[in-house]
Amino acid sequence: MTEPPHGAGDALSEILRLQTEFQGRMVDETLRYLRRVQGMFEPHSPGTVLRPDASDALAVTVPLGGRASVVLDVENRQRVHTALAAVLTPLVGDDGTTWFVDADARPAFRLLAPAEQARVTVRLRVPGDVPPGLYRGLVTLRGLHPAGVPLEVTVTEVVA
Amino acid sequence: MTARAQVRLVDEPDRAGRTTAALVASLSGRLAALSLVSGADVVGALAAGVAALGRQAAETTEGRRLRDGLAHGRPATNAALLWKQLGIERWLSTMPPSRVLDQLRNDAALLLVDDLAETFELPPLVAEPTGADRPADPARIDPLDLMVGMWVLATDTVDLVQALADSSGPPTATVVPGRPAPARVDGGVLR
Repeated sequence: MTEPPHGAGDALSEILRLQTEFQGRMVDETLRYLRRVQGMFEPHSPGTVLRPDASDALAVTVPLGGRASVVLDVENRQRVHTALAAVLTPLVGDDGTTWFVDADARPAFRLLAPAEQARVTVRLRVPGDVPPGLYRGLVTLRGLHPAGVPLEVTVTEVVA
Repeated sequence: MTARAQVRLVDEPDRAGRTTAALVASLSGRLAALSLVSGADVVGALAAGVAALGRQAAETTEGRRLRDGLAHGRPATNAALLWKQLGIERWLSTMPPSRVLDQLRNDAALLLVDDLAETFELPPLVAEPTGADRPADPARIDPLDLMVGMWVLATDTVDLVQALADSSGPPTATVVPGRPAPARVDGGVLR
């Protein structure tokens, strides 16, 4: 905690300190504001949005230690080539368990020409130590603006 | 078991779509802006954009794994120290993030369009400004987000360049026959 000033000299130095702090903060905030304004005038880079044809979640049921596949049929409705790289978000169980899925997409990456369609297969492997239950997440494409296809994976016990 | 879904890749609503003219305008606008802003602002906006990309990627499984791996070692400790001591955190947190991945992909897409020459014959399109709908800047830009963003950008760059090379058709033969060397002339003048 700062000691209270005792003499006139201390009071003056305290005023100077506050004044310097104020000036510094004002410069910072002015710069921050100017940079935000500058950012508004930056040329926009058109992006891509992923739009599922149906709102239903992709649902798979897999036993512990098993495998499942999720297939996305993707169509490029843009007028130039679009990059395609499927990724998964971590899956979260009803009990709060977060599962970082071991998955791979085929093809891992490709460029899709205008009006071209492509099929991407994401294969999931369920380890033996995942608590059985329902897990939810998203299948999405790398770098696309927040959106994806909801994914529900039900992990079941292995039936002998 | 297999589940299927159909998805479409479309333009952003209420924005100029990804056309050749729009992509050329975006690229030429960025080039024109270079002479109006300082180098520090350009580097800062790019670094803030890469960090924003890393923050987005950390929501995916591969990005989260990478970030967690970085977070538990010396790189995270040293990066945090550099960030603080060199004032990088304060500098980058004021920067408007550039959409670096969209810029990369749009510029790559321009290399494959079939109407580029026709586009340059038309009156130039003025680049649409980003405007006020840019996502709010984070109060703090984490060095780990920057590292994850660099990984995403580098991975995409490699994939894009490879895809561009593959788009030109089948690769050339792996063995190229050589030509016989010219006959050696043993003359005193040429020695």
